[in-house]
Amino acid sequence: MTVLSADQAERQARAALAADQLETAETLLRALLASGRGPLHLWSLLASAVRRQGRIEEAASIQKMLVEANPGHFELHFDLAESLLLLGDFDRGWREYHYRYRLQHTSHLERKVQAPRWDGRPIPGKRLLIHDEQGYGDTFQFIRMLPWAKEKSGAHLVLQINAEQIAFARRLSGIDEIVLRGELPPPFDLHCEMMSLPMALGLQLADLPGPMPYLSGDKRRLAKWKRRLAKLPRPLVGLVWAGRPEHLNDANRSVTLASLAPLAMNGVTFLAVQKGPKADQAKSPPAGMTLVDLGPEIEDFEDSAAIVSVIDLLISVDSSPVHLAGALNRPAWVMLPFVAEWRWMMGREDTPWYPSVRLFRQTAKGDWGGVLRRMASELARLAGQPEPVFAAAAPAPVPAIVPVPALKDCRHGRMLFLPNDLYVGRSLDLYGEFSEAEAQLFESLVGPGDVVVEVGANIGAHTVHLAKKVGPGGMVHAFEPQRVIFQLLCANLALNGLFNVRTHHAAAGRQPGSLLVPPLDYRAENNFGGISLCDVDRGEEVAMVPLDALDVPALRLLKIDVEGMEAEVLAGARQMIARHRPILYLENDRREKSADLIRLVDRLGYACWWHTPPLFNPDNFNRHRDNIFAGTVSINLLCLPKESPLVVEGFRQVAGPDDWFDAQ
Amino acid sequence: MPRKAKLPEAATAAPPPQPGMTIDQAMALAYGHWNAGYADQAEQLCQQVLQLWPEHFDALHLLGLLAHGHGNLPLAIDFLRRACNTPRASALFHSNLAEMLRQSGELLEAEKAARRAVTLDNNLPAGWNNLGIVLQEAGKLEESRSCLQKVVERTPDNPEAHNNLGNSFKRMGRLNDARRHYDQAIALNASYSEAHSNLANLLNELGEVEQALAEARLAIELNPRNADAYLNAAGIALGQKNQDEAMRWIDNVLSFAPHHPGALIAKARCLKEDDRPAEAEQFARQAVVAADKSSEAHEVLAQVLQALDRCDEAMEHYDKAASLPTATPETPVVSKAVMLMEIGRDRESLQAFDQARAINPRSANVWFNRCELKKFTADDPDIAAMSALLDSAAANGMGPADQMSLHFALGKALMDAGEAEPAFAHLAEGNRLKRATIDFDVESAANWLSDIAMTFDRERMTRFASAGDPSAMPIFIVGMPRSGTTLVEQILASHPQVQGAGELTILQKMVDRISGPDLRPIGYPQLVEQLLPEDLARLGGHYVERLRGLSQGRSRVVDKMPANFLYAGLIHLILPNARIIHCRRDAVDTCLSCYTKLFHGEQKFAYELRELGLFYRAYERLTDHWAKLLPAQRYTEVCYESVVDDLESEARKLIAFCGLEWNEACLEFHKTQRPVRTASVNQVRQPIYRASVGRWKAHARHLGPLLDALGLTLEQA
Repeated sequence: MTVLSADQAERQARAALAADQLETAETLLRALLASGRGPLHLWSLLASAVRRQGRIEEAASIQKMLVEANPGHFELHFDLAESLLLLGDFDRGWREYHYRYRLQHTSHLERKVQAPRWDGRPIPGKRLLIHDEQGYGDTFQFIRMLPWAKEKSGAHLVLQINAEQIAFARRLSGIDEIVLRGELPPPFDLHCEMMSLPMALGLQLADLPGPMPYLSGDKRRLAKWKRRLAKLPRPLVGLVWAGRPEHLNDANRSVTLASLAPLAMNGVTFLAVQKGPKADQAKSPPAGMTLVDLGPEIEDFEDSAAIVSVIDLLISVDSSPVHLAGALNRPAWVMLPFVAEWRWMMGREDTPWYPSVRLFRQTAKGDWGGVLRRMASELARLAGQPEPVFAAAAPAPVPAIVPVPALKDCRHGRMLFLPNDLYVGRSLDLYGEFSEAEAQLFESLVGPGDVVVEVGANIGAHTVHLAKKVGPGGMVHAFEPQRVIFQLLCANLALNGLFNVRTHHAAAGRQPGSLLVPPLDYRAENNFGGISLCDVDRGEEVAMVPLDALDVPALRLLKIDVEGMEAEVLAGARQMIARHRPILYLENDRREKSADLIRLVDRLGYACWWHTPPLFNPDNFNRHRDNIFAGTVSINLLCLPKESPLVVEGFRQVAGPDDWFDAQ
Repeated sequence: MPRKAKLPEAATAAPPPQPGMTIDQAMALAYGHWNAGYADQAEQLCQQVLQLWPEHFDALHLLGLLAHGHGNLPLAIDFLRRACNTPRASALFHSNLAEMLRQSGELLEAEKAARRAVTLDNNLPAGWNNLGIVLQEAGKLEESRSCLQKVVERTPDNPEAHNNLGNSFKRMGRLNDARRHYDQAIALNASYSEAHSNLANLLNELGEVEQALAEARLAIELNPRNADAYLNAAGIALGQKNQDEAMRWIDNVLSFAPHHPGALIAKARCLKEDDRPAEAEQFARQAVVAADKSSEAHEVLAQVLQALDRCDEAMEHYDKAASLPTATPETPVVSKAVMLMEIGRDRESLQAFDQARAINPRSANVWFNRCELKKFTADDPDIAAMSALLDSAAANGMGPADQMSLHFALGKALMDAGEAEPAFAHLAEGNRLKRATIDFDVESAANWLSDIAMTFDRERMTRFASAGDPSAMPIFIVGMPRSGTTLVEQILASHPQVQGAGELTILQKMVDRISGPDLRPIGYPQLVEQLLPEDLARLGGHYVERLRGLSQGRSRVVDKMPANFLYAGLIHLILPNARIIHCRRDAVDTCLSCYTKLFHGEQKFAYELRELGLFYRAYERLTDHWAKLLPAQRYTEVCYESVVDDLESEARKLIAFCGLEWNEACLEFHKTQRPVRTASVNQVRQPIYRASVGRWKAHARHLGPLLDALGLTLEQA
């Protein structure tokens, strides 16, 4: 082995980084920094080598150390911001992001406005100028915050925006005046760059996406494009394969039309919606692909908006049309490089910014092949075509079928259930009860004449009990979006002669709309109560309603068990909660969502306690001794209004957003 | 997204003045563009106006603001001077010119411009504000306060006004008032970086070190380019004697502002404290280049030159510093006075002190340093003056550090005057205040000293014999502080082949920085067990290298850091040919002398009588161990009392021990022109100071806890 001098090693490391040989670069740099000390620039190179390998948390910890040691280096702040936002750390992430105009290559881009920057406080009577920045995608993504800024500031809001996107802003509510970028705006007292709004408003993940869709297109253009595309056989799939070439990361994000060849299949009409210098590629589509080139007919974003409103799906690299589709709440699939831009975060296939957008990430650096194979399989399913042969993943084996629902007498009444349901069904089958510890808690909270809202009622194992507790003078509203489960719920209420329950075949959510319930094989063994509706793209459409739309005279208990969507449900129930101050009982078994949920509940003025009832009750109704659930518990939060006189004993109070039920 | 390359927005040209548009309308349009962040269009409009009306007052003014926005201060000042030189120049122009002149350090012209502004418009808060901060920097604090008070009265919700007024109070020593206004500034704007930074500085002075550091860090977080916040953090670290940390903060500023005068000054000061005067000089000279009119820059250069024994050059820069406006104008004069004292020019020194006192009669710093120079009698008016200053300390919000200095000064003065009773009362209070700032446990310290003795046993010394660096250049003088180390150094340094380098921290820092594989400092004496023979030579070589830089061409260099008694065994391992001279003196005399001094360096054991006694005994056990362990040709002891009794034979013995030829100059040490820089500076200027032998016996009854700790009784007095 030859021993390198430090200079040689550094040169080799830089060369390796330039050649994308990240592991080699990392090894060299780690050797140089083995003592734990070293010059700033070597640590920066190491952070970059680690980051580009997708190890963002590790990169962030080096970057934090660098910022701590060299607070005056704005480049380090900005690098850290990108990592923190990728990791979803919005608090510090947006703060560090505000150094974006302090970098060597950006300082000349900053607009040096003389008025102070708005810091998010109410400024009624003042005039607030919000101005857009550079990328069109950024503007589409962040323009949603203007109505929020209007609400929070109470100011006279002036938006300054580029000519290409100004029409969309004119259709947005809450903006008092709109001026074109480059023109002299009317006098103003404070200003804020559009992408500093998240910092000013203290944007949290749970605040996203906000009301959807937040942009709308031009009606005449829509009519024009409906006509234009009417004759083409559906499904219609739009393609964008390249972003603006001036983007620094363009080589990583853009592809060629030819490379999209694996998507070609019978029965799908592809539409080129590519603009710019790469649009020409549409003249020679890959073999087997039916491609209509719309590029020359697209004049502006109004055309693009109308097209994504008409077509069935947009498939695009990470570029502005994705944001337009997302803002219009239209389906889009995004092809993302191995380490994507901060806005797409890490690992996830969905995005909190746009419910209608689905992400297809490279699983190895530069590997578009894998992305295209997965997209092709999904596209084939969507188009009702046989899956392409390269779809290697075998379908999951279907277990023995137990087709008939069972009917048994249980602790709280006669229950109809699916015995192949892993938790509720099996528990009722074996033990004659389900999660009885929860029922016992409700005993002490609910009495005759009370109103209860139960979101995620499942087949009614608790609904029956609650309805009996509130009695004929009370009322239970039970929500269940899965059709088959909902039908069983209704059956159980009827079986028990309960007329004080109003059932809703719907999901509760932030705002009115609809969502897709994934098709499930109710004959297979499954946890039918564990279906999450967060991130699905096909299935039965059911209504989504905000609880605030429900008119209840009073509310004692709001019980929510919706597999990770708890925060969404609460967001749609703010008025109801403010008016009636009910006790909240929330499932909180997803650690990654826990902190946001706890913060949200705290903001609603509630204190919470961990309640973790075991699924097995040794004293069960059937006196069945075997514990098939071993130590399984539900992880729930019991939340009382802070002003409530109730005293909670025997439960551990939640210590803060990062607390977890098993913390000591 | 800024990572996308795109041409800046200014591509659109400003609309040319419309036909029929008046010049006023064109200027309104220009200001509108400037406000909205369209600097280029604003500039074009100004230039068009200037073509129609050369030297148009408002166009010149706005061009000045634009140049300032682009960071071109000289050009901005040029435009504003021209704007102010027009008949229609408004108060605002003069006010803005004043602030820009202040930023460039032109305080005299800045003051003129600001005065012109408030004369033209008595109701312009910006004018009073800018005049106030100019006066503040010029040391005209009372008038500055009155200007800024006006601004606060007129704009009570303006956080900047409170911050600025706080700064005036701070510099006046009215720390409570300063704190109140900083707090108000922060209450009005919690993310106001400058106010947090100023509060940090204030809290540090109030001794609330942790809170001070937290405020400095917050200030940096809020504005990572707030250089003053870094320098305040460095100041806090320096107060904690943590030079590495201080240097890191300063280097941070220099990394983004390489010509920042404050950072260059702090860097020079820090390097000087780290015994690197040659490097310090480079930074001090850069500071003078960067800010020729900065009193602080000239003062630090003078201090560095003084450390390099270039006193004549130092004097020039002290005088230059004293001639320039600064917030604390007495400081350079005090520094000059201290230097004059160190080189034995007592009469001039006293004159300088009187000059400093005339500038600021309330400066504790002046009184404290001045009292070293004179012998007080009971009727000396200084005593009453210092007492009065102390009595009003609380009312004036004087910080604990200044009060402490005054207590020590009064203790010294009253002791001179033979008034032991009140003298000890002041010393007790001064020591108590100092002790409260120190984290020290005498029992652990004593245990540590005995660990050191146990670590260096005969076996280890034999095993590593002669592994170190062979240089014979270093001569170490060690012992307790106030045990005659300065006297011995003077005798040796009067020899033509010997350079006295003063009290060096090089060895201690070297030891503190020795780290293990986990990069944490290993700690002394444990580290000795991990050293390899080659490490010994390397450490010795490193020390000699640093010493050579201070040798001024002489073959021997004296390091008279007393605390090096801790390292005598290690010194012998890494430098087997270095001479170590241990000064001994009567235990109670030594401890009493320590107790009456407020040390510049770190002497944690010296501020409480019982701790002094216990520490003394632990020191004695360790040095007894060295005397048995180390060879007599390399380690010797000299008794202060013997030197006083028989200077010549003791001096001859010492010179012979160092392996040097005898030289008569060694008996004339009090004539030596080299400066003496320790707490003992004045005694060594007298031929021999017999009065300090057995001095303690007269004060035995004030020394109970010390005598107990030393295991002595009053009868032994």
